[in-house]
Amino acid sequence: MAQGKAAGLNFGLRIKELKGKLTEFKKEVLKEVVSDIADSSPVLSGRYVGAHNVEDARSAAKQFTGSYLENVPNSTDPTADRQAAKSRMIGQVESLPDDFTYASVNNRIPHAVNVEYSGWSGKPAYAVYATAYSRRAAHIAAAKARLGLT
Amino acid sequence: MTIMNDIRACLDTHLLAMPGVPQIAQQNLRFDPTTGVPYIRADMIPTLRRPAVRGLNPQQRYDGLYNLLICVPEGLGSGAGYDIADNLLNWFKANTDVSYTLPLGGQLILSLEFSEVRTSFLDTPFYCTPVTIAWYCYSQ
Repeated sequence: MAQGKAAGLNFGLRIKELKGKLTEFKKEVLKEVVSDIADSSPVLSGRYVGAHNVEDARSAAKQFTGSYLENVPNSTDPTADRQAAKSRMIGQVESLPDDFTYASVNNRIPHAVNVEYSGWSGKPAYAVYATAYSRRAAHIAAAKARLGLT
Repeated sequence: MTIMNDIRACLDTHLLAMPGVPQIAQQNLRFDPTTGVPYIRADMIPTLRRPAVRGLNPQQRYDGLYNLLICVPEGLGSGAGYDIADNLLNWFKANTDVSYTLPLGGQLILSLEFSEVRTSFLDTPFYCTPVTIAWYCYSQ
């Protein structure tokens, strides 16, 4: 009697591929988020945009440490400051472990609370983080498109 | 009015209708806070405009935030701000709709996605508590 020949999927391989895609997808979404945060950050001295941080943690500990500083010289190149912050944060996203479940993007500089909520010296509140969260659907769509998952 | 102005009017009108609402500092209007008198600063922040469907001339989905900063006199403890915050959370309840009668007729329906209180902070002579309300609506 002829021996039947098995035909089918290698589930182990497929699951491994899917896990890889999932990790890539999580990181692509995070890259979109940090790029949005860097692009929409106001730059005066550059200290705020330079203090954004990505961590493999559920939430940011030790928030708003340090002191307010005054008479800090203005940045000479805000675009370069934003670009540097974006590159640094994308590097932090890349270095997250593949199996990460939570990641937080945070800013511990003391005046981050003013930038986010209250504004200062007649300037409005920028709501940088709230805005990035509100745009999450667009970030997810962009990450899916980049990975060809649409 | 334009759609953005309709949305702004819808949110501002709804806020002003809240019973017991403190003074409102609106965007781009001079407002000098009186020391010792609570007030709310209201900022509308549009964040997204994307086609809601595929095809020609699609309806657009507009997303955004309504940031309310509750400022109460410092030294009253944090409870004074949270009392107002609780009223705002009830008035702008998540998963409810706010309607606004447009000046030229028709209604604008604005859906509230969530409303939440953030960390309070001192901004002498006031103690401020932020409330963030996320909204969306569909329009051309």
